[in-house]
Amino acid sequence: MASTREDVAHLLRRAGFGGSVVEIDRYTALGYEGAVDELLDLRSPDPGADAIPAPTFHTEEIIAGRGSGDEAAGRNAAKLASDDRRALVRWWIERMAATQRPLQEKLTFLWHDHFATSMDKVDFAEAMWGQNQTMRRLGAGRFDTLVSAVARDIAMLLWLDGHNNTAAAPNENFARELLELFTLGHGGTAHGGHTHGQPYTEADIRDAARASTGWVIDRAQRVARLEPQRHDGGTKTVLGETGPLGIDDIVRLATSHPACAPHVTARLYSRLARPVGPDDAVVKKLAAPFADDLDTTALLRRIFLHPDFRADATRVALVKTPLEYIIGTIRALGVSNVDEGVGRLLRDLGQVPFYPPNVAGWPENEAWLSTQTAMVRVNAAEALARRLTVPSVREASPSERPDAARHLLGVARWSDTTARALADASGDPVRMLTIALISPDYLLA
Amino acid sequence: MPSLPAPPPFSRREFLAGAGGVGAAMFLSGCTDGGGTATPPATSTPATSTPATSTPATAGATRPTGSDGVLVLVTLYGGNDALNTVVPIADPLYRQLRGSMAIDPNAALAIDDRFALHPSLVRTKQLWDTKQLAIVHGVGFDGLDRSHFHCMDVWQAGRTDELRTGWVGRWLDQVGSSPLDALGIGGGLPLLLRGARRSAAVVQPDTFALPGGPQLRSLVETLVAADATRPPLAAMAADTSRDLLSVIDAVGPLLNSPAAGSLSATTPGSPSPNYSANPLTAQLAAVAKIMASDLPTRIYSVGMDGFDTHTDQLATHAQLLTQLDAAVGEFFDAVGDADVTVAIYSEFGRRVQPNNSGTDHGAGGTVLLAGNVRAGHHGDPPLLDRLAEGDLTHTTDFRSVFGGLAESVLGVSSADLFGPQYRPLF
Repeated sequence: MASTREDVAHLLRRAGFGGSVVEIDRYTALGYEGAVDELLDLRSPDPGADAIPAPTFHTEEIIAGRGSGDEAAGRNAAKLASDDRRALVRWWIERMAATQRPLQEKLTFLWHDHFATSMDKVDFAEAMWGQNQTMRRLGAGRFDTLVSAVARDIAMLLWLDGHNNTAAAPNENFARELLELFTLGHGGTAHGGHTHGQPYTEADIRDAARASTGWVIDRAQRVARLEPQRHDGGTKTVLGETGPLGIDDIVRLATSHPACAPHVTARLYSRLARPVGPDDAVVKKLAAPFADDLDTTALLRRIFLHPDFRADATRVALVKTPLEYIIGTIRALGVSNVDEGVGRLLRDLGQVPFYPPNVAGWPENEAWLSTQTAMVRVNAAEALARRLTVPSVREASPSERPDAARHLLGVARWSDTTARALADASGDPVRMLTIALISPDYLLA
Repeated sequence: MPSLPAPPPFSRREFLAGAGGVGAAMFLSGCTDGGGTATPPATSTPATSTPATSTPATAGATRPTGSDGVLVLVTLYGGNDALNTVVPIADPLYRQLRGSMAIDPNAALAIDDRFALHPSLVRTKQLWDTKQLAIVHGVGFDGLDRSHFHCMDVWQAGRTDELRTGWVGRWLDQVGSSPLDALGIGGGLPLLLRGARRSAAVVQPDTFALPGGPQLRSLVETLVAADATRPPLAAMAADTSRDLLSVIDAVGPLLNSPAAGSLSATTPGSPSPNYSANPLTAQLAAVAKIMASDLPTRIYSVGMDGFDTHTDQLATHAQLLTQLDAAVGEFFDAVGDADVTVAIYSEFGRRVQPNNSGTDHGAGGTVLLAGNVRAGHHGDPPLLDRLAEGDLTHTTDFRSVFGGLAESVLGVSSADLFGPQYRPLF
């Protein structure tokens, strides 16, 4: 039976980015259910995140420089664009490291992973920032409201060619991913190997693409708007409904489809608890009320309070993603000055915010356990261990250091093998901490 | 050794007749001609999918022993436009259907009276001319659904019912004895290389060494020693770290050394290769270095992104194929006459009719095989007048292609990896 402190440490790792000793103590004092409520309360003050200034973007200068035909202006535009992209990534990393509402940043990241949009193609950092703000603002509310906003988000229009989707030449990119990834699921083989029917047809995709034609980007206002002469106003049939459907109809039909709640629940449960498919018994139970209200906060509360979330098997079912690993370590060690070196570590580990590998988002578990990530983690652990500011490990006597590191990193217990290596390393606090950070025990989320 | 008369690459009559009889006969002749060990599966299991017919244009390079070659898998992510890669240039329907997205016949590199390669594929054309290129037409699978992720997973898994392991991973599960048997070069771990019990190591093409000196190294060895009490994912993390230590010992010194052959580009005054501009060149340069050593690696996985050409297709596709062509050309310069087969594939082709300035997801892939291959055309080109919902139809299941490579290059049973219903090509 895990102690409340261990349960809370598990909750903080999954619902946030792990906790410092102080944070784990604070949430533990509230009891487990109190800790869940506290995490889900997004009205609490967040001076940590508020202290990170939003980047200044140079969108108009970039567009003007690129369009000028002048070589020097073009070079300057490229530099500004690159600066903007870097500043945006750094801003979010700093915010995740500093926030006192960790669930909000984690949830924003989970939606970024779900509606995975890459700055590689979108190009404009300001558009990515806008999408990020939308996901933070709407992420804990109703899922259909979020999808509706994402469907007319500027970055999404650029990412899945929505701004090129016209009545004369429909482009299916957005419509396909809306149904396949964002709402209904592919219906193919999922975790557990169970095959079930695809909830939509190719005809649904073609007509959903027609229904979402005509959206263009209004640069001056920084919004998308429907241009009627580019929109296909004809009759379409999507998911069983026929009529002159538009984008909101498609969002309504997709988010109210019986496959939607299990698909979205399974996605969140896979990231927060353990890898599952939509047919998992726990997912089915959690998805039933979500299908009625589409209330993400209520879904999250039910996930965290479900006994399966704290089951022994769930505790060892996820590997920390690179982001969880790096942000969690920064928070635990009290690393100040989150610089671009942190961004480089994330790049080498394969998970830079705003740059998902594709529209399906980042992979999980085994994918992070390649020899490649093992190699980078040694580098990352060594670099971060050197920047330890929390005094406990350094000030402890060598024999007490392994336990001090366990406490610091919120690890329930060291395995015998890890304990042996830590004892061997305990003479040098930085080297011992490096070993702790690359231990198989710490790699589990 | 009986040699087949070189038939004209294809005729539609042959396609119809060859599906059952002629093709199979050619296939059997081809095997004896090659002298390889690629014995077809017992005829008691009829091919349930489209039988793979093989029509070698000539007796090209053949493998003397047939089972100790090296396989390099080049994955083109995003859906390469097969129709504009190997272009049915003589078919009037091609120009008609592709319209503004058709390849200019004057620029295309003709390989016979029916087909031409994309103008960017200059080195690839040389491989064709020297009988080192095989083109497999119309490759796909039943149930292709135009999803990048699902389709790429199917290609890499080599099956449709279970997508958690890749076929190279399953090969490792079967025969793997060393973490060096298969290597991914660059990036993360693709499904292709993931096995149930072990996965291939992934090395980065530039530098590859452990930080922290010998003290840290010895502590890491203690840390990741085998320990049966670990939960499965923690055990996998420890196993991976042990693999890393052995791969570093074996591969690190090779990658940190100057390159072999023309990939070195170390001639004074010559520009150094711009690896960041062409990541595939860097990956294949690493393959060439490892191949030149005595390491036991049999399969390499490399890849390129960006083939999802929904917009601005003509320029983007030309640039991508230029990078592919240069990287493959330089690779063969570096490895000389080594027994290596390079297989280039993508998850699907593009829709035949374009949208505004690009093409949407389609079907009908073309697989290019280079190096020690049975040169010429294989499989049956999809017919442009027999489209299915605007898409080319496939005539050869991709498992016949990978199965053929498994038997002829790796010397393992295609049926074990892909099931008995796919008749291995070649």
